[in-house]
Amino acid sequence: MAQDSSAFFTFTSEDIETNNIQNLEGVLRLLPSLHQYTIDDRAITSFGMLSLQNIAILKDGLPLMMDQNTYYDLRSIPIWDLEKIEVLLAPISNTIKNSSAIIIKLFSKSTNPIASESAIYIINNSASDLHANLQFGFSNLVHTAKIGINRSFTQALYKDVEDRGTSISAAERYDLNFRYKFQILRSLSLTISSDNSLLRSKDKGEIIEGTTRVRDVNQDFNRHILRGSIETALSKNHMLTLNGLIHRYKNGLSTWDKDLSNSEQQQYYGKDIPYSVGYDQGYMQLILTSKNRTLNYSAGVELSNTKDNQFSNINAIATEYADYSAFGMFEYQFRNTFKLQGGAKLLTNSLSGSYLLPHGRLTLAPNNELQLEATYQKSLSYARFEELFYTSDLNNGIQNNILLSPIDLNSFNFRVLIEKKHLRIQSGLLYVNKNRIPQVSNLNTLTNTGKSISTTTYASLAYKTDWINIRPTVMLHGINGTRDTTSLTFFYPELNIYGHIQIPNTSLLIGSTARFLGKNSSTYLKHNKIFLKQVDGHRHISVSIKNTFKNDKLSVLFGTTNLLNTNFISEKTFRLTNTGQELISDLDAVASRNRAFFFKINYRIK
Amino acid sequence: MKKLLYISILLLATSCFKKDAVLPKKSPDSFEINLSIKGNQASYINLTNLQNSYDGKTANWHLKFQNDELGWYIYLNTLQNVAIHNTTETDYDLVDQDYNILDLPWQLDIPASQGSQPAIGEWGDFNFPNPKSFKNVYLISWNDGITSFVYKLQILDASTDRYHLRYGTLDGAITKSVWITKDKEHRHSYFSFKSGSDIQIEPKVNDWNFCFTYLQDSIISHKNIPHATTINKSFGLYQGVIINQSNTQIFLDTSNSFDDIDFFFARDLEYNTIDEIINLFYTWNINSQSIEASENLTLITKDENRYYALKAEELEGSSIEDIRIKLKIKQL
Repeated sequence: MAQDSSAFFTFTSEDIETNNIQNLEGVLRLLPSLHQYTIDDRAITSFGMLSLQNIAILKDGLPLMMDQNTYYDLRSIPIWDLEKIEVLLAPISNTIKNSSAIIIKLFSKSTNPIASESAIYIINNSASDLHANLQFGFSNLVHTAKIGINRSFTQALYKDVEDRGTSISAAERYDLNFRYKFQILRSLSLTISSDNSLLRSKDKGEIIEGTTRVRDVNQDFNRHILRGSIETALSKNHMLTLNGLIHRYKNGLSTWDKDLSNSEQQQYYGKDIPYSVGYDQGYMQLILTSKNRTLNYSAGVELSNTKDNQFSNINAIATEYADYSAFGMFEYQFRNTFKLQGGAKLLTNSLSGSYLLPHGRLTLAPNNELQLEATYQKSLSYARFEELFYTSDLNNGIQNNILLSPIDLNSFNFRVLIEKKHLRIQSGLLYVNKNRIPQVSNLNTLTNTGKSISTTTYASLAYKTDWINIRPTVMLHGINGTRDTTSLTFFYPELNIYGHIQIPNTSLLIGSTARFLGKNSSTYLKHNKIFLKQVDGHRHISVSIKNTFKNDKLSVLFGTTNLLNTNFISEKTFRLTNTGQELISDLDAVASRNRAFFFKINYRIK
Repeated sequence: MKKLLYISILLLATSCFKKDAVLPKKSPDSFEINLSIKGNQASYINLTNLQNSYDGKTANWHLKFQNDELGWYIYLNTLQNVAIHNTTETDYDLVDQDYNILDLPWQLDIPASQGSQPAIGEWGDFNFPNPKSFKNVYLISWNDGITSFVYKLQILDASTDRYHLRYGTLDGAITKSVWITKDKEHRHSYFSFKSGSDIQIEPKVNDWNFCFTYLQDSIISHKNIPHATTINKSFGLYQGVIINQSNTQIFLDTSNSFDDIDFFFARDLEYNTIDEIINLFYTWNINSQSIEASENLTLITKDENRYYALKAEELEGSSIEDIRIKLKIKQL
């Protein structure tokens, strides 16, 4: 009961294969409901007016990216060990922060009981990307273990052939992930898992005109996560779960000046360079769940501590905070008339105080093929670390404010759900209200004065049989980013069609992805001036064909990504004036990497 | 299976970052400056694009106004024999043809450690957004090449983007009032009493780094170097360089050879933002009675992220009144 499983969309491992995706950034680029583009080698992901920092991402039920109040290079998060990724709109969950409007859940692949298996795959594409992976799994009902190592190299993307400056840097990632489950007793189990990745990238600069010099930025991103979970059945109906997590990451950035005439290079330490960041997080959660025929409930506590591991003190202020939370949730069903879910979370943050976060959902005819549902949720999202802690010289001249309150997120979701044997249709309206957004004043200070509203009208269909799995979705996002100042609302549509067809009486599986996004416009306020940002619409189509041989031991997949070769788009920023709009910047952004043909060879030993 | 395993392990260790191609080293450019007190009085260099450098020819201006938002200095053109005297009188009409102009201590702009100081001094209270003029009446001496004139000048006022002047002859035959607009595209605005209007002299603010010209300084400061005379006997005219402070910072190096100076050396220097230097690239050889290029001096400049080294390669001229400087310039 604690987690709502009625996903709006499920991104499968077949979708990952069809689109040759190697990391979480690639998934979010294609995930229905999200909008993503890359500028200055950084991916910008959003859902309506919610940035990625306001969207909870969980892996196997535990937070994946701490409190998401820092830029986290999603290329460092591998997805080769995932079974599926779910998008949930306004879900009922025990996730406290960033959970109001949308949650993205990653599920690890499971290992077959009483089996050992190994797998190797290699992927190569026409852009000279190369990915190699080795996985070993073992299970004897008591012990289940899985370990995987991976190397993934992705070439740089250039705007023009003769450019040296990269639009997206070349990146190389090494992963070592393992997962171990010990079934101590029938009613007691221990699970330990760890994800470790090292990402290196080189953001190359253009040759400075008239010289043989360049300035490059090298990135060394290290992330290490250790998770532990112990689960025991207290009675027939009660389960107690203790989850723990230690997460450490460091995004090391170094700037180098190079002279290409003699290959001499020296590190540059000026003030105008990106600086390294890194954080440590400890997290613990204790949950008691009870499942009964009509009334279910769960209750628990959650503790977490987050600490900067690069700048442990700034101006004698410790750059860390702690959260103490308690939550209680219930679910009551009255025959087939209605189901009521509700509860509250009490969060105490060591910097900003305590907050009560209620939620509730009413579902009519919960056992029928046609169900109606209304949900309200309140959640919080923390201001970015640099806004809280970093002084103006580390934050583009903007003075930090450690007293910033968390951003207030409220969502209302109305949904109609039709569920049949092979068919699942859902449609609804999600309204998200975001308050206390940090805004930059004329004095370059930050205050919690911003408000925004976004609405998303959505419809999705999932039709699945033994031969076909097709999942179209359509959404219309309405965005008002400066609700506190203007009533300007902009709309952008998106259409996604994901599908796989198994050719009858063969081993052939054909996959396709089609995604169409309209022009995305939004406003924001800075220095008491309203700015309008417009990002061009873009399209993405990928197709693949896969065949398996030797009793499913060997599979070969060929595919094409970005068939329409929609790569560069523009991001324009205007300043709105009394009489019109003034163009401030027109930048090249990347919607997708260039069209590429790829193949994958996968060999499994069972 | 084993082969696949070996191949995979090999691929796990293979690196694929592309190496950079080695580029040929660029040879330094040459740039020639011809200066003459009677002819080409100013030469502007644009280091980003030497083709866009240009000669100011005879600079027929008399007053130069700062266009910076917070700058209110007014300079004089010593090359046109412009000099000034503050009467301390504030009634414009009281300064007339009866005013004794004989043996007046005519003042010139002087270089100082904090930059060129205008002879006109602080003509108002600049603490206000629109400076309040003290309304002093100044006598201005100038020369059109044939005749010498003495005008009176009063700065009436200024707003955030304009200077307001009144000037005329002492007998009142000519009395004019003009507004000089602060043109943000240029570092200075120029005014000519002869034409009675502002005139275009400088390139746009981002189109030049240095202006080679003649600047005045006290003769005592440059004992062994010849100079051209000015209206003030204590001051002489020397060859000098005006630095565009909007985009150019400098460092003078005398300990490294020009060839040894590279970007990595230049990058870590502490640069100055002075506005002018006198007698930069040459010394006076007493024995041969001629000017010689300073062999050990390299001027290193920084223009945002661009660095340049400049050195005088050749220098010709029997006096500083007519001089040719051949510069070697390399971008670092």
